[in-house]
Amino acid sequence: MKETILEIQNLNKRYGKIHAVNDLSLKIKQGQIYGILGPNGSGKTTTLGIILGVINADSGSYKWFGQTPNAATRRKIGAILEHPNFLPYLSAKENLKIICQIRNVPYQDIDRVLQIVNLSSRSRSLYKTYSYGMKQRLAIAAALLGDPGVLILDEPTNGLDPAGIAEVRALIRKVASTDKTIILASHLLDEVQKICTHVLVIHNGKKIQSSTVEEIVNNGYKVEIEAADFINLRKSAEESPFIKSFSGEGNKLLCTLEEGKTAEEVNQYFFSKGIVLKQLNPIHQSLEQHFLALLNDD
Amino acid sequence: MINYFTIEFLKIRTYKTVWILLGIFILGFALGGSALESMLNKTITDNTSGSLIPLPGFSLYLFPSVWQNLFFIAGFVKLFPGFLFVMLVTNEFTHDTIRQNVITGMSKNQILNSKVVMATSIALITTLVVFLIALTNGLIHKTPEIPFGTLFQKLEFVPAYFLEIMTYLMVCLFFALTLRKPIVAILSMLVYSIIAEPIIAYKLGASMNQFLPLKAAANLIRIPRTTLMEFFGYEFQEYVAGKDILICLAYCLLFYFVLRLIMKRRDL
Repeated sequence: MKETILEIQNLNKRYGKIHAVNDLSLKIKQGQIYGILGPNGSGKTTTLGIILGVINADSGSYKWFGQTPNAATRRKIGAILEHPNFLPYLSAKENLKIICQIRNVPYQDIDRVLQIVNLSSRSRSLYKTYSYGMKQRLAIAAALLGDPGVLILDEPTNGLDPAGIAEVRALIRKVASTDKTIILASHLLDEVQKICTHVLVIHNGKKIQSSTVEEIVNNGYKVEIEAADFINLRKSAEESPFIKSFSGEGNKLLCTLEEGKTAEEVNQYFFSKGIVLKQLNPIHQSLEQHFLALLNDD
Repeated sequence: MINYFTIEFLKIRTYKTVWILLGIFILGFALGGSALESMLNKTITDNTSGSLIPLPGFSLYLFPSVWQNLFFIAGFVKLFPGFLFVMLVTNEFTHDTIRQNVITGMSKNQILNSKVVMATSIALITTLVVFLIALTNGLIHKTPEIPFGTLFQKLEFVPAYFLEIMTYLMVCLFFALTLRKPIVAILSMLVYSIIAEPIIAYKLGASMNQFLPLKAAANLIRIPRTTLMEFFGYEFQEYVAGKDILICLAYCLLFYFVLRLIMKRRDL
């Protein structure tokens, strides 16, 4: 059993009429790459702000590593919140020294993290001369200082060009392969699907769903089927124990299957009913379709 | 403690503006403080030429009165370290680095402590600069008739000035941490110190206004004795009053604990 890294219980935060975080609970275990997915303004950053000690929750609690959180527990977490925050009139290296000093990490580690994010050659340039992509990469470097076991990345690919996005994602995957726990907030479905193992979908501060990414992609697995005898096809589909729902279009039926059922079993079933399928197309639902469906339901 | 100092020092170590401002302050006070005596005396002779009663001139730099004279004058330029301090603290809200420092692993109390350490450092440097300029001027103007021992008399004005600046910087810190925006904090500080508190002080009267923070800070080092003022029967206080020290210390503690509460409650 993997150790629980973060546990959030019934967290609430209001800004006037807006319920930014609404009774949110979650549990993150070691080694998970946990995506927090939601449209802009859904409460992702507020939630992260609370668990990082900069925003006070109205009610609810959270624990890091099973402990009541304090400044010392935060030193074991590398985090970016919203946008890169550095002093513009200092060089990248000087800015990272401040982080080292706070976390009690030797300055030698600076060269290592700058190498990882490919900024070694610009380490002496003033932060204000950096492009947005470089600032974002420096923020990731800062989060990596001291090699913390947990990384929190809030929209880490925001403002990056396509090459930068690919680079950062590769970087996250590389870091993730070392059994680190990563919490990634994003409004980009594609990003979460490509990187994360687990996902929490939030909207208007409320948890809509939490599961593994695999479950979502495989959940509501659909097949499109076609047979010459459409009336019988429809009737058998209705009687089937594992077709949750279906809709007809021309001679074709689009069936949503129970979890765990495969196209093979569908074929077998209809054959046993004396129907020969002319066509059988498995349709994988992307996280995007699932996400949009969830938001529409809400 | 040393860690707080290191963290804050790293933030200004390569920040040119700070060192330029410090240079201007040292140079300005060295020149101004050293030229003041002749400037004052010239004004007097210019305005009293033809007057029947010759007015006595100033001698600012004689031990031991040089300490009270120059530290009293230095009380008027505390706006300068105050401005620098408010700028440095509010900068960190502008760039969200206070927020980042908390995320990185400082508690809100540690943030406040590091700012108090920064205020202490600025107060110490300001005091040291004024001390060295006063000492230099005193030594330049020292005549053989002045015994060497007088150099060490009335040195109480040195720590008194430190406390004056410290109290002032704690008021600055209050404005900086509550208002957060550089321009808003600096303007409010100016309005409070130049307009609001003097008006309140005037309304309250001398017996009560000594309890106002900036008035209490200014009261630590009273106006030095001058022959000119003696003409008008002015009463001088040539020592630092324990009561004023207590009021200032109380204000420093009060601001510290009020800020602790405010920091704890507010989001960053």
